[in-house]
Amino acid sequence: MVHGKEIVIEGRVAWVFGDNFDIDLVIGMENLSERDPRKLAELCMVKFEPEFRDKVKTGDIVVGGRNFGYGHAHPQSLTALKKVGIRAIVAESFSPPFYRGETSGGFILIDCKGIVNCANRWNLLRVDLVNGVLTNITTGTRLSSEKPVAPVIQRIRSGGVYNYVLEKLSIR
Amino acid sequence: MTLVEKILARSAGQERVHPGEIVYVIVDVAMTQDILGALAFPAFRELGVPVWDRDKIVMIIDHCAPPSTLLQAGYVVENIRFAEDYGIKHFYKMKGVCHQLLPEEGFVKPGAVIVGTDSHTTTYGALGAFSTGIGSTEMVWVFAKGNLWLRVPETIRVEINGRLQPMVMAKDVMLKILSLIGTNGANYKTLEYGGQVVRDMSMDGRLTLCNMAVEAGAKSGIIEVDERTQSYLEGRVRGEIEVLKSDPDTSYSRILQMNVDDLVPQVACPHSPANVVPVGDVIGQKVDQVLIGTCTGGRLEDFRMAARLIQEKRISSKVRCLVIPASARIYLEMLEEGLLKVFAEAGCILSNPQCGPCAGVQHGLLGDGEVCVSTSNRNFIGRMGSTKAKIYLASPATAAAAAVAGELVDPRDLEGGK
Repeated sequence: MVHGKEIVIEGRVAWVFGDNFDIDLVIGMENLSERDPRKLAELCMVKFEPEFRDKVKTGDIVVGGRNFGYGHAHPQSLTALKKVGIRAIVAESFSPPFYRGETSGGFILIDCKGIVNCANRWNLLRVDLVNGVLTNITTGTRLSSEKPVAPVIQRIRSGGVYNYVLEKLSIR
Repeated sequence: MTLVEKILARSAGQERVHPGEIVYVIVDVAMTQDILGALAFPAFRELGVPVWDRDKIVMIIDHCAPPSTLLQAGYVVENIRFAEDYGIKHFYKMKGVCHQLLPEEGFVKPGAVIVGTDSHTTTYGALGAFSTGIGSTEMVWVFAKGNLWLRVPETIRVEINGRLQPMVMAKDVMLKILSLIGTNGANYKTLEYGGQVVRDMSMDGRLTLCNMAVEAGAKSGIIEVDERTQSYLEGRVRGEIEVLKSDPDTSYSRILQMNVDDLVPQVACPHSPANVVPVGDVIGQKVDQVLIGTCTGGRLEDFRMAARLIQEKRISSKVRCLVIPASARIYLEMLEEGLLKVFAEAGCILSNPQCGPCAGVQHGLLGDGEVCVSTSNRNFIGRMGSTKAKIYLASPATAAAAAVAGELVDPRDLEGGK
């Protein structure tokens, strides 16, 4: 990941989800009261693939279909995904509250139409967030991703709205 | 411009705004409920600054009202300490659910920009305000700065005409709308409800419509200001009440026309609020619990309707029927009107105002295989407890009828409902 003027991420596709994916399913509805990040990491994706955690490495990316994050998203699943190393999610589209909530926290979400047909598991993706270019390095395909609006980029650059507030307050 | 565009333009200090434009708006009211507020407070404390305007913050304890676990008790303490430390006077401790208290206590004025740490903050659009939910992380920003960035939403106009049949309520209209729009049909947009049916509709009904706008993916819901709004606000708010409307020649992203002359009671089947069918399709579905209450269906009009159906009957022995008024004021009004007696004599379980089982917090969770008919707004898997339970969303009339029959029935067929 490169910071500065550009925000570029590079990582392998660790999983591909379908449409309207309820993020709570990543750790399971019955585990939503768990708060320890280490326990959450152990629960991460276990129902999808028990060995997921061992196969994933830091910098990997998750891909989703349309309206990703639909439902009443609790923070546990993102905590789990981040803990096992996932650094971004690319989806056909995002559920608006999920998009706003997670980018406020500084997490990278990339809106990219056509991603599901273009990316298979373990493909290496490279995304130039600010300029809206996604490249599947493995296959050579290139797609246009949505350029995030300025406030979202500010929050991602700062590492979340909390840090961004701190920066803004010291300017005050 | 549409009504929402006008509100956002004024708040952003601009002549006009266009859908899609990024603006910074001044927040008039920021609301936190107990659980999501408690997530924001520690981070805000670390900033070491005062809140931007303590008069514009309303804190509500409604989910842990009163607390049933140590974790919940901890949230309550966190809220109380924060209100003390930051001088928050508008603090409602277990007096009702946030989305009833804010309108009831006069915090909602037409033209205001209101944010809250709860998805159903869209409710206040019924009084002509721009009102939307934000996360706890963002509320930290609002508490510090008193403003918020927004992408100006497009507006979908929902024109509702005709006449509602007896026993058919605002909830049925909203469920029908969801069946037409879907759970992401209004993503990033505002739902503007209008037409004869809305003009004739009580404020309780209008609040129900706007409450569920978020279930269509909408950023907000809104209803133009009219005499009914003015009459509701009289005595609750000070100052002039602006009669705000969309411009007659404005363009909408979509206009949805509905006629409700033939609208029958609807239910949203498991596990989505948009999985809507006429109640006739699910008659006979066995029921274990009925919930009449919440910010969607816990107002006086809702309980009056439910009482009509339950009056002088006993609820089915197969069902436990929870009656949860949305505020302490409504509870008292129900007492004065004899409604509490009706529910108590019928064998219902009366409770203090709280969110309770709606969000699976407490006071009526569902076990494996159980079925609940609820006047609330969400029926996702695991919403009210077990991931192996099922929730049907319905109007207070349909819910009350189910409590009496022990299964889903058309409320219009129940004796006393005619």
